[in-house]
Amino acid sequence: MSKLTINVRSHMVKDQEVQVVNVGGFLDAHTVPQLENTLNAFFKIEQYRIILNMVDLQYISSAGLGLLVVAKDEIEKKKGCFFIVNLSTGVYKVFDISGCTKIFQIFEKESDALNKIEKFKFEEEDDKE
Amino acid sequence: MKKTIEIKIYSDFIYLAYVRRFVESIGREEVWDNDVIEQVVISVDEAVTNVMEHAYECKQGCPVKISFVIEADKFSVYIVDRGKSFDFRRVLIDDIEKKLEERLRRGRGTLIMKKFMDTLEYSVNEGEGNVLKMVKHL
Repeated sequence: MSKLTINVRSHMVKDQEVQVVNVGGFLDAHTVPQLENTLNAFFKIEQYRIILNMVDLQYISSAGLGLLVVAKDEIEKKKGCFFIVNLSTGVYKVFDISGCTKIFQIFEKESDALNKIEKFKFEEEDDKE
Repeated sequence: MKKTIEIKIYSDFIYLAYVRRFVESIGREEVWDNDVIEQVVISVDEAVTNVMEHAYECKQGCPVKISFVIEADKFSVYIVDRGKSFDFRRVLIDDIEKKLEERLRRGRGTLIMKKFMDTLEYSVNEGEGNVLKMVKHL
């Protein structure tokens, strides 16, 4: 049975909470509501700093990509950040062919995405000054 | 020698995983390249998902037939349903990539099928139903 696994970890970057979501298995029209529920739960508590770590994701179809696009828009409206890390070659190909590599900020490593979030915060603080 | 392999499922997203394994097993048996197998697996997943979402409007229990006709230098996949027909030509002609820049949730499935398969044809036959034919040359 092809399943989706989701594990959430919270990181503190400076004084801000960042949700790191490990997504594994198969993300298709059948399993996409699982990830949608997880993301909606973050939005309900106004958590808009999210990293999706897809190191264990074996497969994604357009149903999964569609959810990610909608989530990114929602997060951007709230001035949050939404990064994707650790795509396998096969999953990256699907992102690439469907134009999603132009839409998302994709990093090879989770630490790179966390560093970027830290930098994001500095940029925001600079703007305020 | 031309070979025909066919399965029938009922509309329910739970069957997508079974469909992918069916397609992959054909590719492994035929010793297609891994890239070809990955491309046809996702193209069939997208086509079947479209049928369930659009032709059957997410209603469960409606028939979907998936047939492979395998020849030496190419194979054809037929996805047949008895749901609502749609103007597939319009979908294919539309500039999907431009639409995707608008960040729509839908539309990427058709783009994936277009890019991974060599030809797509959609027809509506009175007796059989809606038929999507996808061909890939080996």
